Amino acid sequence: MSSSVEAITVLSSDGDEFKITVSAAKLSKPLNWMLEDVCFSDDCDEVPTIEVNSKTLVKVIEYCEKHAPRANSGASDSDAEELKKWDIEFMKMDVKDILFHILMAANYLHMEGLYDLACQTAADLMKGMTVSQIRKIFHIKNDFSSEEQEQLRRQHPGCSFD
Amino acid sequence: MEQTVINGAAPYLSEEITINILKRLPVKSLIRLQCVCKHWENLFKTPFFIAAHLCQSHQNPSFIFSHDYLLNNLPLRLLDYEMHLRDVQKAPQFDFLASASCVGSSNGLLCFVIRVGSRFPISLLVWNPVTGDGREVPISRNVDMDEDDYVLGFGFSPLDNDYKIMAIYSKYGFVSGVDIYSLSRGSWKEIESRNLENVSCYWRTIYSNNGAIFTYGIKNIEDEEVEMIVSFDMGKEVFTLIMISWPPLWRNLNFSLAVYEDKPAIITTSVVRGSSSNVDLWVMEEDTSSWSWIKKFTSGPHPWVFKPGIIWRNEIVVSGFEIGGKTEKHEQCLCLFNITTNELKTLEIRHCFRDFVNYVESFVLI
Repeated sequence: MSSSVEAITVLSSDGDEFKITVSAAKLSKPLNWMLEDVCFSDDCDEVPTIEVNSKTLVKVIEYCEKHAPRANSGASDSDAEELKKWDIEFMKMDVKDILFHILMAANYLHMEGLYDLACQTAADLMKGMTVSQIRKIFHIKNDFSSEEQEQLRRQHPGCSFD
Repeated sequence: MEQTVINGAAPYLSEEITINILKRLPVKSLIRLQCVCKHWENLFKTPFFIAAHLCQSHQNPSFIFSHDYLLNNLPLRLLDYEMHLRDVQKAPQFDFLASASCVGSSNGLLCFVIRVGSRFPISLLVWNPVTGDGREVPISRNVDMDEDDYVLGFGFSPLDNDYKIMAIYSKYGFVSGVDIYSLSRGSWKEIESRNLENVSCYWRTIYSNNGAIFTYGIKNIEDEEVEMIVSFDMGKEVFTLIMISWPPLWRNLNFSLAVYEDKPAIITTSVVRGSSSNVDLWVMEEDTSSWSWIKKFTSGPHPWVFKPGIIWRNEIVVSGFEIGGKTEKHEQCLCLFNITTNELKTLEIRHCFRDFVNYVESFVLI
């Protein structure tokens, strides 16, 4: 890879092209390996595909670009504070439409920071959800018999099956 | 990577991702979510999940405090990491009037010494307030309160993955023997403690998460009283004596042993001019070859009377009441001093507090 390259082009699983700067791509281990293995110069035909849909990839790249300067150079406390606020705003998204996709993408792309952030966001959202809402987003069927439900309720008065 | 989307439904998450989300939920939520399905109900009881959840819980520590003497149960309150106060449920009940004081806490397990009345220790109780599981452990030796004394400690030994109770017994003021109870073995054994000869051990112990228990000691060397911190390694089961004079003026102060960044620390609350108090934190630091106390924090004078407690997150926790304030003497406050910013937060709570102990919620089995 030539050192003059500042951004690379990748394809989403939907076939759309996206640009990502080299420093941002380094936040992901698999992307970093790609940088080392694949030719990214302008005359190279091969555009690597990332198995993430376009809608999710836009968000992942946005996160990478925001976090890259800090990851590469370290940051002051005020920067870290600013970045935390940005993360909170960034994570204001729908669970089933996008957050779960981001979780899977961050896991697949080995992006520890984003993965932790997304897992924590999902956990925080679940605190306010009913059991049936949670079953729905995790595709789970209630497999307790009515006797078993009754027993659990007796053991834990706070339990609710709805 | 598979991203199955059915009519705008959420994609299916792998078990690995699901666990990574669930381990971040507080115990209260997980108890509720047992009802989601049998798989989750069983998952929460697996050693793998319990360990993953505990690891996460350590980032959101709370603390527990107890009040009142001589009851037939163990009333405890908890302040969680979001500064919410609540009662601890599933408290053990006794069929007699007992006084219980906290020996220590580790990974969500609490250890109490139960006394009949306020003197004779009859047994120890290791208890997980989340699951309600407990184990009663008999005291290993007969204690005659006229000539004997004892110092107890409780904690986790990472080396052998075991929880242990340490009991230092004294006769006529000097250490006479040390017994260790292992939770996995379920029995007591006496350990070698020759270096505690002629040492007097006092008061409370404090457990540090790196597997050490600290307590105060005094040794008589050629008619001189030498002050020290006694450190017990939970894994190797050996004592180390650190000869170090306690922070200056300690005799005139209220003080408590605490842990700051895995090092022994002492919180002192001194009364100045009879009408106000200072709160200081001393940390034992190693400097090339010797140990010394570094004053890490000081605040005051405050028009309060304080009683020192523990270090929780980045806060010094003390209890107290404002002199001439609207709260009565028996209606104390929790006062939290931020070690970095010096900010003081107060929380009004009734009752007098005896014991503060650092705590993390967990499903750890006994």
